[in-house]
Amino acid sequence: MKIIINIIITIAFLALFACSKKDEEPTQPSNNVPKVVTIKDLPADTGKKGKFTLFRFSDSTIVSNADSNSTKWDIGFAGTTIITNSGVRGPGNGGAIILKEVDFFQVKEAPESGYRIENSLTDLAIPTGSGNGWYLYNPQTHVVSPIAGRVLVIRTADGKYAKMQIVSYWKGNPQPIDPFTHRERFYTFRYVYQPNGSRKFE
Amino acid sequence: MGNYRFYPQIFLLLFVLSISYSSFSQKIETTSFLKIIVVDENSAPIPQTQIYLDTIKNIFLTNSLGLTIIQIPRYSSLKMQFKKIGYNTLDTVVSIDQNLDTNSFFVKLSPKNFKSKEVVVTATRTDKELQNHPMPVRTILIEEIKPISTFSLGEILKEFTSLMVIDDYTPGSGVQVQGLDPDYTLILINGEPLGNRTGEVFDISSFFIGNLSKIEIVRGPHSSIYGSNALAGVINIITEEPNKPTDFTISGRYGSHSTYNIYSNLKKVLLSGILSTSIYYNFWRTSGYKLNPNSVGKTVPDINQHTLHTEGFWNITNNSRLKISFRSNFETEQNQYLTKTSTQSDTIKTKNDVKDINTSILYKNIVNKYLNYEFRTYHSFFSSNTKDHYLKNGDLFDSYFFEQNLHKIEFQANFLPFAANYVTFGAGFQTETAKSLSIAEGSRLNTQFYLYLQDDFYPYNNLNIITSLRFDRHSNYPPQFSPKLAVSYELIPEVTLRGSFGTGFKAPTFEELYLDWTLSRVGYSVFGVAYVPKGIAKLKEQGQIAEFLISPDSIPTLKPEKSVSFDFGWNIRLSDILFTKINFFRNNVTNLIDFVPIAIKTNAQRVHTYRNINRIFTQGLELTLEVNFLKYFRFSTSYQYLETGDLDVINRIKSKKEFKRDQNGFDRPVLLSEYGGLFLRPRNSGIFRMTYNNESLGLNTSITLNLKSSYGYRDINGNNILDDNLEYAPGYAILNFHLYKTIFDKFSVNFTINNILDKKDRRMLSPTPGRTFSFTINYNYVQQ
Repeated sequence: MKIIINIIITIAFLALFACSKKDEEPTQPSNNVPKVVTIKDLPADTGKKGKFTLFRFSDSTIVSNADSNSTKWDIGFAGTTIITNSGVRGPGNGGAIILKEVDFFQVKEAPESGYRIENSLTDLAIPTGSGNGWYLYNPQTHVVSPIAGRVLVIRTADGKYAKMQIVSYWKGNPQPIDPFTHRERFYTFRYVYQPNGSRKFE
Repeated sequence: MGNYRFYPQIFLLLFVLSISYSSFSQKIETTSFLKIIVVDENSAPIPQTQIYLDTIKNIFLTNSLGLTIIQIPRYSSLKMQFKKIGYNTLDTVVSIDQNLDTNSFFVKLSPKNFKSKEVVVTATRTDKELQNHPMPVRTILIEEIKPISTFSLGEILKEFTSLMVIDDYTPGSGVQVQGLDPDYTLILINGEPLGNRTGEVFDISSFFIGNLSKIEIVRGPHSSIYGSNALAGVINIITEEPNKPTDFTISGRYGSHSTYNIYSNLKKVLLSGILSTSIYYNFWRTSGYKLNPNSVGKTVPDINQHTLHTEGFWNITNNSRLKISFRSNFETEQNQYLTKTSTQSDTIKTKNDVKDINTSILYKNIVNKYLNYEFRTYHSFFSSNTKDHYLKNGDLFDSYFFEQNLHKIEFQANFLPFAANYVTFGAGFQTETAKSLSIAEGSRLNTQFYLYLQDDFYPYNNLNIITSLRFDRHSNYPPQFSPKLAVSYELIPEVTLRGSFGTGFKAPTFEELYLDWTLSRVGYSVFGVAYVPKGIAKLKEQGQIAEFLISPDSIPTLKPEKSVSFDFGWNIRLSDILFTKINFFRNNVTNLIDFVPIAIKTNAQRVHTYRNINRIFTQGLELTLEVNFLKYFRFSTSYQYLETGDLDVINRIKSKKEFKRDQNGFDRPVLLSEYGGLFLRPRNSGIFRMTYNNESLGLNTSITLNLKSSYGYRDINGNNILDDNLEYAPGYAILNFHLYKTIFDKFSVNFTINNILDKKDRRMLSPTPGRTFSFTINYNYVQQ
């Protein structure tokens, strides 16, 4: 009997959610949101040498590793690790916050406080490990995927703000991913950079 | 089955109750009364029994007291027929005492059920009648299997049950019962475990049992008598004992993809039954096949397999018996795969040799009608050796071995302490050794002690209550108590209600506890939980740890996976025409063991271990229906409706913490309606079988349709849960045809077409090469 009741409850639940589905569908971003920049296949230490690919938001440029001890870069990528220009990693005023369970396009403003910095080589602004930071690792299929609903808000080396969504970790953003034929350590991501120093993204 | 003179007192009472009393005195000279009471085996009245009096060509019905009173002319004898659904029809001639005004008869009808006397052993570890069994038990008999002429366990289950046979030659192959993974079902042969190997795939489709007499399938948890791994169910293969002076069978089968199967089975009874023996030998080979013609490796590898199973029986006295059984299985698998490094790719030839040798000795003694006991020993040796070589120069690429030894002694006593209670007590001790390069320090020894107690109680004739409890003390995990309660109630002879509640557990495997393994060319590592401190210390010393994802000190000891389950249902049988069974079930499994990364190495690869994390449920219903019609036809169906889910995922979805992303990059919460539960679980699955069986012609032909609705295959959108239409594999239908005919008395032939619709998809639960044909010829010699 309990099973039947459970089934009925489940069906009722499903019906409820099915009805509300339309309301929850995201709306298209309005055209006055400027500069959603998409970067495709940024290599992130593909040779597994522990070398970060450094990146600057303001002009979407890769910065040479020779400039790692400068404020010319905002974030760096190596494997699944993403660093900011702060703390032990760089002289900048960088930092990061991971927003959870939000949509990238709905984030209108960077938080005022709560930014984490690179405290040490193991205590990072963006935590590593499956489920801790931006990605989920599937031990059965060995696929690394960005976690939906997580938005990285980055404070740049010069204290400005950018919001960022990781789209893919695999070259060419393939669907579905086959870890045995597709190449990992290639970031596709989109971001919005606010050059005027405010925390607003629109 | 005879007629009985009725007890005068009851007769008098019934007589007074009779409405035809008033008319009685008027016709006293020419007519007399006939009083008939119809009862069942337990002397309970059977109402609505049809009584046909041939002499006067008339039909009468019994009332709710099983009684009828008939006024008839004074004959000296009467020819009568008693008919009632669910009972054997009784034809009889009774003599009438013409001096009496009233003749009384007490008629007993025996219940009719075509499997009524079938005895099953698996659910209780005692002989118990299948009918009205409180647990969901199902049997597949040799008589049903013979006409399809395949003796692979996987093929038999696919042909006769709605169970999900998953054999994709990867870990996790086997049979999924009630939506739970294959390693939650215990597979036994004559009560001894099979395929319970640590880290090894037990491939039920290449397991051949030409010497079987039947397969018993019990669903629901049975850890209360079997201990670990009996969460979802127990499948017990029972071999045939010699019962004729000589019985010899030889059979050959040839089929598509160069698949041969040859077996012989010799059974002999010697010294007028004091000694008997059976010798079964099976050879199977297949050249395998590829589903993707461009792939280097085969979907199913090249396999060569030899099986020998011999049993000896010695009836020492009328009440004591010794049985010795020896079973060995040798198998070689060959395949190829591609290995890639950053500079080149190579083809690797892989060869896997498996040896499996089991011996058991059983001594059984019936002391008196209140007590019997048995004593068994079981020894098992298992080894698996894999050697991988480069195809181009034959150099060794990789090798792996695993070896396991198991010794068990067990004692079981059954006794009747007082009326209607049948009590079973068992105790056992077992040691298990595993050796492998990938086990920390090379080898491990485990010991286990257990006790179990069961009471099979009949408070009333139609009410049966079974309670059981098992205690397991193991060197690897905390003590386990596993209780179970099962009840059946026979409402009317045609309808039985039943239900059970029980708990089950699955012990952590050797791997989960002691693995020390690094994939040599890639460099990622997996440690068993008990080895984590040492393994991490070793890597740290070697400077291989870049960072910890979780502190290695915070990893808790591994607990067994636990389940709490209940089921209920009913059986309905209307004589041998229709039989149907329904079972509703719900299983809650907690402490599921899963892989977790604990650290990242300097080579950027991860270190993994295991942890108790998930909580899942499975629920649904199982339906069996058998209809016999037009004398030779039988339609049978088994259907399963299944819902599954991860309770933690459901909680995250409900609190809108589980997100998904669409193709345009928009993120939103996953809706509960989108969550599809666990992967590889079709919501609907069923088989439909139509058989034509004409014994006088020796002809048996059948078609079977095996249906699966679509099911989650793999995660695509990256949140590791089933919540997107792209993540499903399509449902499918497999249609099989069998034709079986006996010829020239001793021969029989079978022609089979499997997968007539030629369905191919590598995502299928049990992939097939498409349509295949096979032909079998059997010779059977019996000396009566």
